[in-house]
Amino acid sequence: MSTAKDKKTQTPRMLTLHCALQEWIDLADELDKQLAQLEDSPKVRNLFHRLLNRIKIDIQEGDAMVPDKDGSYRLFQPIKPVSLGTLLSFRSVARLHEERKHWTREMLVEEWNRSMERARAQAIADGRAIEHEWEAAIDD
Amino acid sequence: MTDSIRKRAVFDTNVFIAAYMARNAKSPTAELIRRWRNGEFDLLYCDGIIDEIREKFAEREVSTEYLVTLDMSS
Repeated sequence: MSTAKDKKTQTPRMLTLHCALQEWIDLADELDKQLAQLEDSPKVRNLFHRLLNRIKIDIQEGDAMVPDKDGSYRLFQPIKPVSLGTLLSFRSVARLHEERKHWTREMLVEEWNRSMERARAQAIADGRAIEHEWEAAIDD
Repeated sequence: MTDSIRKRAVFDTNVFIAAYMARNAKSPTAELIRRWRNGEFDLLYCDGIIDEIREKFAEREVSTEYLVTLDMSS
């Protein structure tokens, strides 16, 4: 059992992760595909994506010049860690974009509308749907 | 509409949550998404916003595949 003195003298543990980011995304992508085949897929995949959201990757893309109203530019440093899940999403979006690049705008709009309605139907079926839009901001 | 006066917007994360989870399919937020998709204005976003939408979707147990179908790269 640790004492109060121990607590004062303990230094925080540092966990250092050494990995190749590309390899992480490859593995996450493969695991996500395999999870999609499982019977309990939605629940397991949701847990997996929650885990991915907790892993933040700090990507420094360099400085950007942002225009001001007076025509001058100011320096902006877009340095904010994003999650591994988001990086995985970018890859999925690129894949989806490649598959659908020959689609007409009407086909895309139709598919986007269908996906929104599928999500809504699922939320209603699972009892997660919200009655009023302000509920989306709860715990925000 | 000419390019010089074309409207641009930034959505709060809650707009996506409300559009995808509200019982009312004709909610104002769902209408906003449809109008964006119909090309009535440009949506501005950054990696951080997408990250936050992902986080909120996961918290609300909305499948992240729906985020992918938003295909913001188009």
